[in-house]
Amino acid sequence: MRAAGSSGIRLALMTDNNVANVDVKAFIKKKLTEPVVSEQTWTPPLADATPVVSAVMQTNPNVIYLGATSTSDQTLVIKQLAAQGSKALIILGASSGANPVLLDAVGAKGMEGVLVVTGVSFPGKGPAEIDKRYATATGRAFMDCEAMTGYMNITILGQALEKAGKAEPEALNQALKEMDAHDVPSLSLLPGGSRLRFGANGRREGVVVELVQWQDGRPLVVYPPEVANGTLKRRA
Amino acid sequence: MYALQLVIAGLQQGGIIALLSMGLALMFGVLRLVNFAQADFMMLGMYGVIVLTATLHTNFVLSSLLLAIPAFAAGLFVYQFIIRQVAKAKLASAPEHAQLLATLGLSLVLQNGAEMIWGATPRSLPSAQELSVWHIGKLSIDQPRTIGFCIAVVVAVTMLLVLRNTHIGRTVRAAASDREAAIYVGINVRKAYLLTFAVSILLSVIVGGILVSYYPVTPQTGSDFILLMFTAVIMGGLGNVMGAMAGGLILGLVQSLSQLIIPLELNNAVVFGLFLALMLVRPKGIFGEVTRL
Repeated sequence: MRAAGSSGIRLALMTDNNVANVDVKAFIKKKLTEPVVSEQTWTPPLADATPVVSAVMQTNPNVIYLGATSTSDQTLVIKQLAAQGSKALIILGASSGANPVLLDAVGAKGMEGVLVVTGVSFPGKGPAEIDKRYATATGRAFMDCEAMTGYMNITILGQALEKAGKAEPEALNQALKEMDAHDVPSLSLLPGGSRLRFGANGRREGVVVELVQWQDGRPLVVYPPEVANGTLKRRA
Repeated sequence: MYALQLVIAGLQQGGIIALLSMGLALMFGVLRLVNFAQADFMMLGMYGVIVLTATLHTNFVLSSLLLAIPAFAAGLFVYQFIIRQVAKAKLASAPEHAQLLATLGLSLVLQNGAEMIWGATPRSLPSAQELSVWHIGKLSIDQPRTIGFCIAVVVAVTMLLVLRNTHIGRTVRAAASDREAAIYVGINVRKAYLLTFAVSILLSVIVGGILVSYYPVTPQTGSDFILLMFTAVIMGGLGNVMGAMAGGLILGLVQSLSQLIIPLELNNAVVFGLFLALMLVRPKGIFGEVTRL
């Protein structure tokens, strides 16, 4: 068992070997000044989270970064952590971690205090109106990330197709590269404003990441302050 | 202590794979049929238990038992109107090939049908939210998994006893051993086939009912298990029910304990590496391919 650094943070990294998670994990390790107490990587899907959680629990972490892509892996790991008595702060690196389905599977008690890092706006100040319309139309508690990204992707592609004037890959690619959208309603679902454009490397410019925390069965935005509808709480 | 925790987890997982594999082995042993839709019936069992617990407010054990009759009936229907018809139609040079393709098609129909009805969003039992664990010293023993393992053992032993000690069991074993000889001595082989298929489907549905108590279900959940099922069946010896049970338990233990020596992300590589090594040493599996169940 490795000792914690001066900050007292004992970070464990638990991720599947999805390429995005491998990159995120490498980035976290590069930025961290503290040693990582445990690092567990698996090939999804997990049939049973007991072995991976048991290995992590041996190192007694107080912060766990969970990079699990599938809902079933997220469910199995979070429940098993609770079952083995973990009190560590869980940071889930996937927007799907704030979906109602995870609450259905794990329960409000198990999800309490779990932080989710997301690139789309969950029930906060921005998309409240769309969220309400979605909830009324579907009967679900709130709009999940698949609904949001599906809605955004189609409207963005729709606008790019309008601009390209033809359904050809190269023309569409060029239209997306030149896109500087302000008036697409679905963009309000992106944290940090309603402008969308891409840089020379193809990545979106001006990305703002939100931190969402599960509190009493609701995912509340706790960062950034401009769109926050809750404050960060410590895990009980 | 850590190794013991892994052994317990491996046995719990292995018990579920064992029960699933036993249905598949029974079907192959008697009908010589490779059923690609076997794990999809497990998936249907998972959804069925969710629906039953929501409407009747029963627990997952009772819901699984309530599903037994419709599962058995579904097995009879599928055999009578799909498998048997395909075999009779002589759609390929070998009837097994046509049957194999029919089960592959059935798998696609079941997965897409489930997606049309329940959507692609994972679903869980509300009771699965409860974090029920026994703590014995530093060991954490998951209650739903342990209950699932016990049910798997009871069902497996019951099935073996029925196969060995009842008239129906002897009929099934005779049909598996030598189809023509069984017909000559007056055994109704068609009935044995029908019964075997239905019981195999019933086993899968019951496993689904157990599994959904801790594992979220999507229409593609069967795909997470089908490869492991086939591996367990072949490891144990094609068509050997006892072998499939042993194969399932070994797989669960190997998956769990392999992380003591190699990175976790390679645990499936260990499983399939072991499988390949075993096939080189014992091509007919641990217990051998048998004509007796």
